[in-house]
Amino acid sequence: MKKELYDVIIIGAGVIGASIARFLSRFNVKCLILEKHNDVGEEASGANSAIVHSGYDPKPNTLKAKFNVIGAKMFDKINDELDVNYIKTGTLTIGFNNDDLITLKSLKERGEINGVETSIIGKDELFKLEPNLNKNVLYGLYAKEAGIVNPFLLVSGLIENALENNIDLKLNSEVIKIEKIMDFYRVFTKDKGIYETKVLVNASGRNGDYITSFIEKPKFKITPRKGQYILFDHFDDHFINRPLFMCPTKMGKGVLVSKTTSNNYYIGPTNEASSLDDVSTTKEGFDYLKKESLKLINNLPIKDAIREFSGVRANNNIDDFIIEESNLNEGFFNVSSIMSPGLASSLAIGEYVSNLIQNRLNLKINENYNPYIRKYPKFNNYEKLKDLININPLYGKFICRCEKVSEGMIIDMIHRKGGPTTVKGIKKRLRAGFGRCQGTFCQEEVIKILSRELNIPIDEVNYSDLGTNILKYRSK
Amino acid sequence: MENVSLVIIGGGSAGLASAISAYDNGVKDILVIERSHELGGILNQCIHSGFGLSLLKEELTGPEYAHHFINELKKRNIKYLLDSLVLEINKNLEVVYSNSFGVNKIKAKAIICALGCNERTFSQIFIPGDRPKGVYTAGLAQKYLNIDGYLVGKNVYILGSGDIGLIMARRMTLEGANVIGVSEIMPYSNGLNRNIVQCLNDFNIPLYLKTTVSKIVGNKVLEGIEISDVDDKQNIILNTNRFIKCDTLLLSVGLYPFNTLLNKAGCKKNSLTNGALIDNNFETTIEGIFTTGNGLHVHDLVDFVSEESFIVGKKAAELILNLRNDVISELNVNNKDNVSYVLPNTIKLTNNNEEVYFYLRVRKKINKGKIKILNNNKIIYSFIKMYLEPSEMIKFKIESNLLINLKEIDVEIEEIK
Amino acid sequence: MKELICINCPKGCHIFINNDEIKGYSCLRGLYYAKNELTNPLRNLSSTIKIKDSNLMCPVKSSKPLPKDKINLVMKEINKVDVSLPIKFHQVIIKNVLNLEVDIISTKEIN
Repeated sequence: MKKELYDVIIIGAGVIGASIARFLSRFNVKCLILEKHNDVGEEASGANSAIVHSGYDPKPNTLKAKFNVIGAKMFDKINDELDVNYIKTGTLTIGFNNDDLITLKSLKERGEINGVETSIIGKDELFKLEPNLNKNVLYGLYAKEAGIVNPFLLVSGLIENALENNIDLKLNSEVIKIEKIMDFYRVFTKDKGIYETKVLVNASGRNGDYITSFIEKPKFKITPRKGQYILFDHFDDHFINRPLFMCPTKMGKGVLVSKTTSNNYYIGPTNEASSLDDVSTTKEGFDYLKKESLKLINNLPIKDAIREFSGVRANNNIDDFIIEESNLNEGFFNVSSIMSPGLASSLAIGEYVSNLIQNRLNLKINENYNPYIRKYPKFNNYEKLKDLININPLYGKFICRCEKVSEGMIIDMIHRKGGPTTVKGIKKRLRAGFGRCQGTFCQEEVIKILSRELNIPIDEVNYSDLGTNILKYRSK
Repeated sequence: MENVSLVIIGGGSAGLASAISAYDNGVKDILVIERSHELGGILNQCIHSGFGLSLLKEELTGPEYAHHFINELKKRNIKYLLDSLVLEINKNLEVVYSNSFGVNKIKAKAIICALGCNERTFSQIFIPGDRPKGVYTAGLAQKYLNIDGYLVGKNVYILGSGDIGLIMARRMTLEGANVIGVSEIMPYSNGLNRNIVQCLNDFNIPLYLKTTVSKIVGNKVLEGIEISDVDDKQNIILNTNRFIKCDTLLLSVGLYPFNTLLNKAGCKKNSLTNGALIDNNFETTIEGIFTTGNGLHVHDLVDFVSEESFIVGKKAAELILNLRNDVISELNVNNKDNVSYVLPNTIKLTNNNEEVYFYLRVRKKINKGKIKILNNNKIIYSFIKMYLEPSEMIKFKIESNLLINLKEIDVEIEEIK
Repeated sequence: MKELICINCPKGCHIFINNDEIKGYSCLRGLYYAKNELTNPLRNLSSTIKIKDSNLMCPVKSSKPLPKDKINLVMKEINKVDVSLPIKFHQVIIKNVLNLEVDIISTKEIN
């Protein structure tokens, strides 16, 4: 078996692995990302609240607090570099009574310890900010330094940039065994790959303790928790303007009502014990979400729901991130259990871990490092659309009517480094198939475009992972 | 900016019929804008027969029905664009559309929106469980099979015994799939009886009434579903779930109009149909914007779409050619007992004494019903009709002089024992 | 007494057959349907045929109803052939399929 030798192998191309890879690409390094699925960002990174929290909420002096606060501040720059639709909307935590006010005040204090400024506002200002709140709300905790982001474009943008800066990526490469050979790690993957590396980074999300156990006894245990969401269509661009949280309880941040960067609304998540790969939705979940969300907003049009989905968070039994080099096994970096506020912390974690690795391996600066990806061909007015059509007529040929995605945009996305090869990959990055009709009109054309652009037979185009081809049997 | 007298958005059955009618009623400057690569809309994938009996006195397949109307359009040299998507319309009757040649804005004297409808998806009916590949709306599976030549699976279960589900049960069986069964949540199918015979009975495909799919099972690909019995209120009865192994679940759980273009233009929406509110001219709340076809309310048969669209084409022509008389009285129409919706929502009367058409659906099956129009509880018009059911739209017309000077009418159906 | 549902049109009349007595049809087509259904049931067939050198399909139908028990065999014949462009509306693709005196014809004009 041919062995390939690397400086660094990162297990997992979710937001954490992607972030580490991208910041590592600032240095000259031979680095490989191994991703189990047929696309990046397929697990929790593809099913979350998409909120960049400001950092007032995590317990002070935890890694969560540290990385959330630093990470949140990095989104403006990443937005400029990677075009991730970050919008600093601020967030509101809502209180209904005096007990809630006490909780909000203690959150404000906690924020101050963490270095985050928030303000307590009353009913009048609440309704100025959010006219559609339930009439019973009384108090709010407003965090300015928070926002929403497109999590799919965040992961794909980090990956694309990493790859452009000479990091390698292998999809469909589930790690099935790891051996420590002196000061190297030998990694075996399901697709019969064998790789050797000096530094191994575990960014495998919900499989964090499992991957660790190949090397050493994990100091933590992943306690997966499932969160269900209900997503709504765009029915009103200004229904709410920012994420709205219920006052937190011991169980977590509670159900929130929020908007995505594409002006869809959603309610969620639930917070249920789960098994590692249970991303099912339940009737109890729907009913709970509908009931709870009415406390915040009393006129959410349930009939405009277009999708329910679940994500599994890699919570753990110590309730904090694991971000450290193992003191038993040099070169093994565990970046595990990045639960909420994982998304907000991801950039800070990536930068920090990459600096640790740079130090460990004495890496030199990559003179050719370019932090920018090619901007996405977008239009927010017809003049811009005309310009795009002048460059390539296929920008004028619309494939997805619900979300206004044209053939030119799909082609552009497919040909990016780390670009999508699946129907779901197009859906995540461009929203074609994400809208009201859920692909009933556009999915066929998306399959044809993927087939043509990737030069693969139409019946080999997958929905997501390998073996999920849609056009299964030729009828004649 | 280019000027076009009549812009018709959508080149399916409603768009084609309204174009032909507008032309025959005097408007020659018409542009039909179609987003697909061919005219005909959904008819192109409905390769089975059952169309045209009412309107053309001939039983035709979908493509043949489309062929007839496309020929009539071409005979009249009516202009049309393909692969062109309308991005926006507004209350100034400006239409912005895009295609590979560029973005264009047209100013029209009238716009007819014939956008068609959407299929309800599994998320909209909240089926719990996993989210594997293998769950499709019946229409999408139909497109893949009839247009592209591929079966999406070989062991198929179907939820919903409406005609689309029944037609696909037969079609997939003929092409080699095993259709395990059809679940219907009501105690009766709302598909045509002929389809129960020629799509299910002919192939020994069982129909399970008062059941529904209560869970989707499968990690990446569909492994099976659970079906459960339901009670008289369509609620799932606990502990009646059983697992059925299958690789494909087709959904035939309803169609509904969907009209972002109209909503964004400011046309008020009808919350009962999800289409736009209209008056007796099929005009929306924005003057000059008309709507017809499944994009206004879902029809039972394409023949009825064409019939309706002929009327709308004429109404749009009357506006464009300034043939409208002044409105002398205006009233609101409300749906009451046993009527799930009625169109039009408002009626504008002129001194023309022309007929006013009503379209409505009964809320439940009624053997013998008296359809009544009332004003202040006084019956203005009524008639009796047998064997009413929600899947058969009721259409009738009355003389407008019955409605002069009324402000409000209620339309209801009394069940006669 | 046998009860049938006529499939000739969307009305779907319930037809009752008692020995030689047939009742319940509202047009002659229903009468013919009932007479045939017990002895020699016929069905219309619509399907698709592969277009040569293309990824697309051409919709076709039987020019007349076929014996119900021959439908599967006719489907096999349809699936054996492909047709070249251009295709005329109602072009005969398979003449006298399986000697049943029924043609398989195109229901669409494709250039």
